[in-house]
Amino acid sequence: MASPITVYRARRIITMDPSCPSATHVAVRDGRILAVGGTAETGAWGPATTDDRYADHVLMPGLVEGHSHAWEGGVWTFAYAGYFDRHDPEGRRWPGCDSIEATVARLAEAERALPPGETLFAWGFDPIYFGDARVTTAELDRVSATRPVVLLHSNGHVMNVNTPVLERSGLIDANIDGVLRDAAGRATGELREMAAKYMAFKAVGNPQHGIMAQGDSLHRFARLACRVGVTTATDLFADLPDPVVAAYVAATREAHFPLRLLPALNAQGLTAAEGIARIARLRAQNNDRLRFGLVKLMTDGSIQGFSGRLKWPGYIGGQPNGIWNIGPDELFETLHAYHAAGLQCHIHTNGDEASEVAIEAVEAALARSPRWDHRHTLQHCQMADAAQFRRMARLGICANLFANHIYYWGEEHAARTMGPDKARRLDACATALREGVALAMHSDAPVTPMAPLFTAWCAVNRITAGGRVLGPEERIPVAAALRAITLGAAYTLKLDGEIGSIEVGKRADFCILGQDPEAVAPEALKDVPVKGTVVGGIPHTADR
Amino acid sequence: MRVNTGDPIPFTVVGGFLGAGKTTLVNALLRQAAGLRLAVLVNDFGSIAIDAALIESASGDTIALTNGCICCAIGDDFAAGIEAVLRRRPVPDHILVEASGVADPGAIAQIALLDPDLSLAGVLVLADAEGVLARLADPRLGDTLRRQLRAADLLVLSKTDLAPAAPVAAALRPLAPRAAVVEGAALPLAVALGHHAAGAPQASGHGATFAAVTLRPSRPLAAAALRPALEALPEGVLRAKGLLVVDGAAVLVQRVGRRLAITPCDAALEPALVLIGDEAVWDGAAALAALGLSS
Repeated sequence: MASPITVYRARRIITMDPSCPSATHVAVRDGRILAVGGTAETGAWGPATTDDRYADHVLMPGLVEGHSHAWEGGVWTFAYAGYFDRHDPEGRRWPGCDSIEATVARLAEAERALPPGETLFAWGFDPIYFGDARVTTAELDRVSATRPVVLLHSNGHVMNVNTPVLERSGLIDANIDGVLRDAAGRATGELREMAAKYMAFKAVGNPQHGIMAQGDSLHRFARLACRVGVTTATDLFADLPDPVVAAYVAATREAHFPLRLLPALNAQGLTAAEGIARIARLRAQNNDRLRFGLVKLMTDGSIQGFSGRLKWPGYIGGQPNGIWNIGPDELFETLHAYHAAGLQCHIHTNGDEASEVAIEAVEAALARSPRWDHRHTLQHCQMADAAQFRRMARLGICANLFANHIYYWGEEHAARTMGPDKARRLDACATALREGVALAMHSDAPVTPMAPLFTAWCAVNRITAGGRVLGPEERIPVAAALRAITLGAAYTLKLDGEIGSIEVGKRADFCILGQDPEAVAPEALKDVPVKGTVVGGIPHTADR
Repeated sequence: MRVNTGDPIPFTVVGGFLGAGKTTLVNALLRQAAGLRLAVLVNDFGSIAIDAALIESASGDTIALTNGCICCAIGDDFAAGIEAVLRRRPVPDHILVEASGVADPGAIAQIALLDPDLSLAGVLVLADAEGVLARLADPRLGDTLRRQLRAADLLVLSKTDLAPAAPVAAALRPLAPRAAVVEGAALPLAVALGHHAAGAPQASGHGATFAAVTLRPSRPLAAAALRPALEALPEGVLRAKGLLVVDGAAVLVQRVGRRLAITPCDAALEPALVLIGDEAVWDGAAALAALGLSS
């Protein structure tokens, strides 16, 4: 006897299926889409239970976040000290710390809640928004003069500490470049580079280790995904030690776990042969909500951190070119090894020189080992120019552009990194589409908040935090943006036959909206309320 | 803050581009290291092709060798890897980090300058005589290579059998202002790490031959005279190392390339200074004779 059928009726269903772009009813059986259209289509399969809970809502395919990190579910263990308002996985809104005073107040509040003896950690701080003002030990000692305080910057490379950390680590007397000093020669507590951070963590411990192996972290990530309509997300740079794999496997086997997760193995730190063998072992643990198999390669750093690799003429302030995490020659070899093994590589490139090297590496790999439909994807690919997009299209390389950057750092790119002209083509979605590149767009959470409708809004409007439209010619239509956060992203994960649209046979993954994103003004796209998701036919309500 | 008691562990960084010969050197040092508990930290085990007969046990990211050495694959988190090695028992005698091909070895070496559990025993940067000049001219690679060269205490030219070393050394010297240049990458342990056993260091293969001379003081030393004399040693004195009594207090002297550290220590040994290098060690010994140091 066949399993029962549930028919969901909605105000409108946006399907992403060109043969039936708009529907009102979708029938679900065994977690998959049985029929789409109206009552004629859903009724054709016989008796069904009609579920009217979404009768006043608009359904979309479950949103797909092609570049996020499950760390978003772990990082909230620490106090949030970012500039912009942000919601934690439980839906609590944390107002942005829009001044150094506000940052101190946030830390002081967190400090009062912490048991004695524990180190206070905070994350997400970005002084780029405060001009020349800097946090020093003077501010952090006001938070606590006895308890160690560590304020991690959002770029991941810099941190501020208070005097107890400087004293315990011995850094207070250290004379190296990575320990910033004021005009009087006193350590300010701002620590840069590996060595200074090493000493600080040696003294007070690194609380980030082990968090993803804790059972709750992935659940928190999934809860957050539900709140923003995401039913499939990547964990796009994962070392995947055994305890983390065990936590991922356990969580995704729970019947009601509301997310499909695709971890990408960090290919640095192991040989390609080891990585290929490791992925084969990991894949044996795959289930319908956990898919190992992706590979992540890191080329350069970040543009706002001046560590992105740029082509001529480089940074507008004359800063030296950025750094390589993997050298060009090594990238060619490593990429080819994974490519020849039939795996799909997601390659971090920010600057245009990094993108060019990655494109050349794929081209060389294809010449050595021809392969159809590899779908290697450039991740971020923020400064690619039209010629690079043309080359990507010809080689079958996908682009997952970092559209959120336009809002969060667009002003900084125009003023301080790229200059006003090159900043116009930051995350050039329109050029990518025009040149025929398969397009996705992303948040890179927790670097920026995961919320694909906001990401789509960025690509549609290109409005910066300062309120200007940055590169209006690169704006794309709402429909194209909605495709990029569903079927487009699914394509870059080779899951477009399974998710990304509401079509018969696909997984019953839906995003439940309070308004029709194609009916609201494009400027209001980010404000369309997400009510929850359906994952494999199981409804989940967003935490508020 | 320290996690170990006793003397700080000497710490060496080996840097240089892919193909410069880092792994060949590290493997050669592991083979020579009998009696020295050398802990080698690498990104991955890919290129460290350890002779199976040497492997005592392998578990996860650590390989233990029969000669007491260990190799640890630490991925790109050097800080966590170094701290784990510091906490091993028995404590290693020497830590050697093989940096990735694009890493700045100077940034890694700073760890040993900060951490009182470590003492920096030198930054070795390898450059292959055949290809390094082309890389320098490549806009994608040149700046990374320059950063590596700037950090070098010993600039070791490899593949000198394939290309003449002298013009390459001349071109690189201004880019590595602190470094002594060594032609040929077959370095004995004493030159590479500063661990000097009795007798002359073994030299092999192409390039320089190496020598060592031990000097002992015949009269009290003054810091005001010692430091300039050590700074003036010829380039071919690749290392100077020892314990001396200066102005009545015991100090540890460590010079590698042009990096010189004179640090207070406990006077547990008879004062002596060892010069390690090419034939220039004899010139160096002659120069130090004026201070009353003699073999």
